[in-house]
Amino acid sequence: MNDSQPLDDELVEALVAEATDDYMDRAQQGQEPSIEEYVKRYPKIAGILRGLLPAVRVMHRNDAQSSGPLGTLGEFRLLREIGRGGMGVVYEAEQMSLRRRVALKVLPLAAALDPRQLERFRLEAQAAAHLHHSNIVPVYSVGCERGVYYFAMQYIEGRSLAEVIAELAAGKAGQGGGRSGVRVDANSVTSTQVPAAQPVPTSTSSITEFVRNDPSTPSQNRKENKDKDNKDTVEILRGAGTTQWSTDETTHFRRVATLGIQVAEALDHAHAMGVVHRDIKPANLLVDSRGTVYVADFGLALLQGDSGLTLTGGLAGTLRYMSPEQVLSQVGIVDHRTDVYSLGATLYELLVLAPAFGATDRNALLQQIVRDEPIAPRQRNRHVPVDLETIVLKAMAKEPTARYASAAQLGEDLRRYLEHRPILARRPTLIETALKWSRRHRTFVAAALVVLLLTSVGFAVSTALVARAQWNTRQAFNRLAEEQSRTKLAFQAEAQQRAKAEQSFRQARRAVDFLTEVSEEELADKPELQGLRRTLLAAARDYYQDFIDHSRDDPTLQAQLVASYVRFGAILDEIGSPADALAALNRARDLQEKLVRKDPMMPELQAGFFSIYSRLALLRGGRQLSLLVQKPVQDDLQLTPQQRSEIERLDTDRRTALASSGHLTVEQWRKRFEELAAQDKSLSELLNSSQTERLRQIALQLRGHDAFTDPEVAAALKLSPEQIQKIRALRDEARRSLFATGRPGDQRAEDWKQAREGWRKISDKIVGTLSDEQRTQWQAMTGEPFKGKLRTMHRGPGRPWHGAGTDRPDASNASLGSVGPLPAAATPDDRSPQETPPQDETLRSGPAPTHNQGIEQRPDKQEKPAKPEKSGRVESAR
Amino acid sequence: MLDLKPDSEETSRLLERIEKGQLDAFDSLLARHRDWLRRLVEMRRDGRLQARVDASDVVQETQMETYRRLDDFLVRRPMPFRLWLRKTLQERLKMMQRRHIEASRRAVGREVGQPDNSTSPMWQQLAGIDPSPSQNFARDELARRVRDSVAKLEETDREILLMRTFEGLSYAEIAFVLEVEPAAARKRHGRALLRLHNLLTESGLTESQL
Repeated sequence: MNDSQPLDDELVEALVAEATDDYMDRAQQGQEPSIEEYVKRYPKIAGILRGLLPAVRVMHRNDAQSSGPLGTLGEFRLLREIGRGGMGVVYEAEQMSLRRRVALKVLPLAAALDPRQLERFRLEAQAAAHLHHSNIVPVYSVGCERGVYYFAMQYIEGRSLAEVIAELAAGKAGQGGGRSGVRVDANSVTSTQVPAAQPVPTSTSSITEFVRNDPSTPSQNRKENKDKDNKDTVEILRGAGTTQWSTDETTHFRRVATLGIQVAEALDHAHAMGVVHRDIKPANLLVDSRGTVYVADFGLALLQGDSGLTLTGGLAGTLRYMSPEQVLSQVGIVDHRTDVYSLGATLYELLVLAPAFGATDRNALLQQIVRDEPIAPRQRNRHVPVDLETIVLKAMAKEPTARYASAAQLGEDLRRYLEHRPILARRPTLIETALKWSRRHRTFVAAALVVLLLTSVGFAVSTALVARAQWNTRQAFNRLAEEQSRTKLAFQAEAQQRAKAEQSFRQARRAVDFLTEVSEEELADKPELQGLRRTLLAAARDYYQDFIDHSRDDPTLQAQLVASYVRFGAILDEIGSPADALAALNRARDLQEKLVRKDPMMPELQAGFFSIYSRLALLRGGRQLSLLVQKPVQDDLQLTPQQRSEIERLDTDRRTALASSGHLTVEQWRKRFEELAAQDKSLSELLNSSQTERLRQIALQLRGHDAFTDPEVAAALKLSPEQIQKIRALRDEARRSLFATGRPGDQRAEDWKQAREGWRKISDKIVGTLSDEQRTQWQAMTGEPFKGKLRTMHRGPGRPWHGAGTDRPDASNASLGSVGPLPAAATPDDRSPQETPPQDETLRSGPAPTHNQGIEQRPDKQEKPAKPEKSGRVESAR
Repeated sequence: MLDLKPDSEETSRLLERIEKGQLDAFDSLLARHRDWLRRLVEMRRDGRLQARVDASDVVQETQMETYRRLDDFLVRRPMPFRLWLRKTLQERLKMMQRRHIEASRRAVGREVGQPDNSTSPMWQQLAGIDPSPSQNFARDELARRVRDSVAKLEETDREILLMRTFEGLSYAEIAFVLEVEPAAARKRHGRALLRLHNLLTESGLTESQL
């Protein structure tokens, strides 16, 4: 090296590499090697090293920042890194002006976020900073220093519930799953299960594996950490040193309830301030050595944005505790009740030390969250108190409305449990369980059950309405009598009465909503159950009509009133009164606009708009259009190529308009309504008069004998009241015989066949009762039998109130077969023309004298005899 | 066997748990490495590929790819997990770059890396947390020049420099990732350092400025 010969390039390269490697190795070990030293050691390449080594140090240092002094950020002196998450790094730091210790969450990658996201984060973080509650990690300040976003929180000496759960679960497993009291030493558990909880400064290989000298913790979500007191925390959860968790489960359960109360109260406070956490999970709940819980990271969930649902967001970490509506990304309807759900899921896991939904595959997990009821905690550990189970399951209800309405109510029920008072949550009633069940098992048994239920629910509905009416009267009466001596007792009795009436009222409402849903969605594709379906819908229609009559002037019920109008309209549409349906929906829209003006931010209102809007779209051109896009119809109408392409364009437009949602203003919604109306116009201009007429005929044919119940048809045919009654009787009779046959598929298959034949013949029979004049008229109205095969999709009104976004085309009914690939039209936004024509009826819907020719019977060779034979005219896509 | 640092206890433990079918372990495993992966991508954002490739996209694709091929990895265990992940990232990155270049027929290859503070979180981070405010400027300046010079390097040079200097991989590890002999890796590193030095000199960075 002291050789004065010039070196060849290769040697220089080798030397430079050697010197640099050595320099870096030492730097990595925490030394500050001097450059001069290397210059002396490698004189031949001294010049190079002088230029190169500082550069290498700059590059190298970037990784090594967390070794040695960390430096400062604003007025914070960074002491050590205590955790890393997807978005940021948490440091223990000292706020120099106040000389206090803080946990500083730094978002160095904030620059990668888009400005809108950042702005949202800033607003939310500021809102969170205004939360003052003893169970919320106080946010001291939020700021941005040289492009680095940070916020300073109180430094909590504690650990997250995620760690605690892991440890308890490990302890439990260590005991062979039993509940006997082998004590697990907290330290040993800590060292094997949670190595990061070790003192940090000594860099072990496990810690410096990737980021050199970076004492980051492996636990992704740890926001706060510390190297002592872990044992204490576990002790607290175990039972404050006196009772061990493992030996006294009762104590554990009560402790869980205590934790739950604290979190619920914290959440309630935040909700009252308009802040929803959105990411409640064990990892975000910190417990200190006194057993106090702190909710951390308010407002941060927003930062994850959509990625919360992707791998980057922490597949199981976050997803596992997300509410169904959050998982489904139902924009606009995720509100504070999502926190209630997540807290429920967290408590569940604390109770049984296993997650409520344990799927290990992302999609399976999503499915579980959206579809499956969690296994009852008591099935996992029979020692879990019934009340706690009830509370947790209520908090975790799939439907936000079925959960506790507020975190406070959840907390209150937990308190009741602790105080041995009766809790308010009810275990799901038989009806609810049955409905849930029937939703999943679409069988005749279920349908029959629904009929039975309907009877009782109908009773409950009227009782509730009566009670409500009575209450109103009584209230008026009482106001008059107020001056007179009204005893306190009487007052209380009344309040109780009122609460009771209100409660049964709400329950009835829910039951009817549910029933409507069942009949709309579950029964839609059971042709032989159409009668039942109609009965249910008619009952529901009457209920909604009653509801509307009763609540029209009640300011507290306006939102429900809108929902009722929507459902009412949907049902009217369904059972063939489009004009009335349109009126109901327009009414809903007007009311809705009024409500939105009053409170534009209410998320349900947006969803409500959407359902009104989609429903209106269908009522207007949509139905016609969905018929027109089908090739057999186009052929029948002999459309020109230009007309066809124009129709395709309109269809695309309509889909596009329906597809997008999001937060729109009343004006934007209006504009959409107008666009829709404009579309109707161009549609009606598109067809010539004979085509329009023919389309009407086809539509009428497809409605089957239902058409006869349509007031418009009745008027056109000049049906006499006697005839109408006769028609109704015929339909009823056929329906009854259909039901009397019992379940198809068994020995009574013959009866079943007969009954079905009877059902089919109704159209013939009805036409038979018409006068000659009427029959001619009917033939003129229906025209030649439509010969094409159509796909029909039973798009029920869906679940109007939760917005069309949740609707899904159900293509599961593969046994109907022979349709070929599901047409592209089967998108959620598509509302097909024949909403619910029962196929069998449809077959017979042609003009009576000729209809028989069109039918080609297919032997019923399906393994599911429940399906009626399909015949040629109309195929169902679902 | 080459001198490869084995996976840490924690990683090994998580891998074991994954083998037992515990998905949350996979999650933790990814979480452990996410920032690191991100940094690896960020480092390369200053080069010619610029902001064309979004860091989180690469990280996500890498994670998905990892997820897809995890079973195979667990059966074969050809190398430490960390290296395997590193390798997967490299492949994804290459693929995405290629995709981008093909997508836009613009001559990305000839674009010179632009110093762009707004899209370079790495350097911001570097500049943002510093012990002594008085040194800030000098270090910022040096960092800027180094970054510009690194950006001007040929991709292969830049790559090895980042791996060795920035990531601190051993030659054995680099050799594994690049599928070359360790000796060759070492040689390439020396060459890259020299070229970097030349560029630094060209940019006017003299000893006096340090």
